[in-house]
Amino acid sequence: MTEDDNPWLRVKAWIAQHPELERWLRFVSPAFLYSALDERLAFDEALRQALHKRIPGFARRRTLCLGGAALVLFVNQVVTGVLLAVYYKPSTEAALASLRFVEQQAALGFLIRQMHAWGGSLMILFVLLHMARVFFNKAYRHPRELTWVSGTLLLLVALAFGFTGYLLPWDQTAFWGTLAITDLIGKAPLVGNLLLTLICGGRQVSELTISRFFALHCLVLPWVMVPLLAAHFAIIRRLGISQPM
Amino acid sequence: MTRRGFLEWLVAALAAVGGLLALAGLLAYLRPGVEGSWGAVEVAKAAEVPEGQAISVPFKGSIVLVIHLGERFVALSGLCTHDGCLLRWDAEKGQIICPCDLGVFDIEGNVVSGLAGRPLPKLRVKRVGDRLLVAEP
Repeated sequence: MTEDDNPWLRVKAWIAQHPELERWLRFVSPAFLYSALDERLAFDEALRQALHKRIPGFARRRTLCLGGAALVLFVNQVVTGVLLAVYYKPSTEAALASLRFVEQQAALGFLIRQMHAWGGSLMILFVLLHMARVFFNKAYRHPRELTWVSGTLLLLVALAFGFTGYLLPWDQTAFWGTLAITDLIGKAPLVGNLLLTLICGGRQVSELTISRFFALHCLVLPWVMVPLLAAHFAIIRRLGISQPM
Repeated sequence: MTRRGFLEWLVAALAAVGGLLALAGLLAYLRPGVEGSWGAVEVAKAAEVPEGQAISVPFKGSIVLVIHLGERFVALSGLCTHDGCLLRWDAEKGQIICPCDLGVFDIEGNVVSGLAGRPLPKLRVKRVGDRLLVAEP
C-alpha cells in the first residue's frame, strides 16, 4: 500500500508538519505513545520476531487447532471467572443467593455464568481431544516427551479446577457431586482421613470446604496453571510441530 | 483506496464496534443496581399503590407498610411496636393507626399517641421503573 492510499499515513504526515500538535498527541494518544516508546526500546521488532512464525504446510489442519481451542477456552474461563468473583460470596449461606443475583439482576450475568459453566466442560473436552490427536499422531515421541508430560499435568490441573469449581454454587448437584469425590478421597489407604481433613477442613463437606475450594480455585490453581502453560508453549515453540506420519 | 486497505479499515472498524459493545456490557455488569448495593427486594409493583394510598406486604419474614406520598414512597415496619398488630394507613389524616390499641404514628414512624414506646423502624424504599424495591436501612 502506498502512502497516498493509506489515509492513516496521510494524517500522520500532516500531524508531523505541526510539531506542537505532535508533542501534545504523544501525551494523549496510545498510538503515538507506542511509537515514541518503540523508538527508544525497539520492542516492535522483538515482538515481530517472537510472534511471527511461519506454520509449515502439513500443520495447517483443523485437528492441530484443538490445543489452541482449549487455550481460548481457558482465557474465557479467566475472564468470566474474574467477573463472577466480583459478586460471588464463598459461604454456605450466601453462595447460591449471590449467583442468583448474578443470573437474575446483574446485566448479562446469566451469560457470564453460563459461559463459565459451559466453558469449563468444553475446556476439558478439548484438552482430551487434543491429547487424543497427539496420541494417535504419535507426536509424544522423542524429543517431545516433556510436552506430553507438561500436557498431562495441565489436564490434572484442569480437572482440579473443575472439581473445586463444581462445589462453589452450593446447590444440590454441587454438594452431592462433590461428596461422591470426597468419599473416594477418604477411602485412600492409610492417608484417606488426613487427605480429607486437609482438602475439606474436616470429615464432611461444610462451610470450611467451600472457603478452601474457593481459595484453591481462584488463588492457588491459576498460579499452577499459568507457569505450566508457559512451559508447554515454550517447549512447543522450541521443538516445533511434529510432522504426522 | 485499495481493496486490501478498505478491508483492513472495515475489520478495524468492526473490531472497534465489538470492543465498545463488550466494554458497555462489562460496565453494565459491574453496576450492581439497587438490588446489589442495597440488598433490596421487590415487594410490589408501583401501580399497586395509588397516590395517597398504602400497601402492607411481606418483607424478609416481617411486614412492611409502603405509603405513596406525592412523588415519593415511604416504607415503615408494618407491625405496631407495642403489640405487633398489623398497622393501617389512614389516608385522610395522613397517619398510621394501630387497630388493636388505637395507637397513632406519623409518617416518619414517630409515636403520636397511644401505648407504643418506640417509633416504627424505617426502611429504604426505591421505585425502579414499575417496581417497588425495599431494603433494610
